[in-house]
Amino acid sequence: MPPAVAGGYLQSVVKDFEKFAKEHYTAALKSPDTAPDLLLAGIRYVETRRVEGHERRLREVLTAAHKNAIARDLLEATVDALLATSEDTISTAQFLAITACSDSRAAVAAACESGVRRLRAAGTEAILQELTKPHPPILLRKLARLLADISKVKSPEPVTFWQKADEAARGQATAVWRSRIVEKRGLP
Amino acid sequence: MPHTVVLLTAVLCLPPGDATAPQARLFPYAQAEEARRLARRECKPLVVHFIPDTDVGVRQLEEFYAGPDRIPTEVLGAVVIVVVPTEKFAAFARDLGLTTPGGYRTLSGYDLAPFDERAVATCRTGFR
Repeated sequence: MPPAVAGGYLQSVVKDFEKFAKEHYTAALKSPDTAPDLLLAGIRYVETRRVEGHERRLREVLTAAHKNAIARDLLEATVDALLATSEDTISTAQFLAITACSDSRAAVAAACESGVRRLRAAGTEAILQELTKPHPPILLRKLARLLADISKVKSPEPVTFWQKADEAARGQATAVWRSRIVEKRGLP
Repeated sequence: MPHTVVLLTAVLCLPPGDATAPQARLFPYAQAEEARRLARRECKPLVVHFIPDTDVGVRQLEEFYAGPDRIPTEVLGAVVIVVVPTEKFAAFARDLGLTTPGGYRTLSGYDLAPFDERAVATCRTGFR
């Protein structure tokens, strides 16, 4: 078989695969009863081809309970897909930060934290915004710790402050924290 | 030197190509699991390239992937290829309908168990 024939075969494989994947993998992601392998295929398809419009479903997948051999692959892929296709990085970062600080499953929390880190300045800004909102005290404390960790800039107030302070006080503190982060790393 | 060793050397010595062009993804059969994971990671078809474990196989690898008339890099970059000596995986080749000493067969990255002497394509889902 000459290389040109082999190349022609591979080209036809690629064409067929793209057609198949567009039809079946996207549909697999939408369906709630998809087998794990096929769900992973759908997520990777959306991520690698930058198919927008699936963020809600990706968020559902991320927070769903996965008890199968590829659960970790699913988590990793879902975070990758969220980052690759996000139409609003601050909103995505806020979701990931809240999940990282509230989900009791270590693997889910770690995957989400990794996503926030990869969003860099958007991740930092997202947490700053969340710190001004009326969240439960424990969540606020965890968010403050996460922000200090990923920004490498210490909180201007003790960690317990974020549990106890009202929204106005937290708003002032985040303004100070933001300016220090901007000074050190910059924000968008 | 056994041809299998020569084949693997030939595969692994391929030129890296243009850094901006899609990279060819060629794996010897011993790294089939890595190839499978890459195909899943990048959502690309996994192509098994069966070759005879002879000089003919070595020449084919060189012509397809390294020679002046080699398969274009953009085509190779869109698939993940595992190079498999047909004789070593004769049952697997037969399972996939191969009746010649060499040839391509395409699987989904979700359907190929890691290679061993009893490698089989499960083909549960997706493309084949």
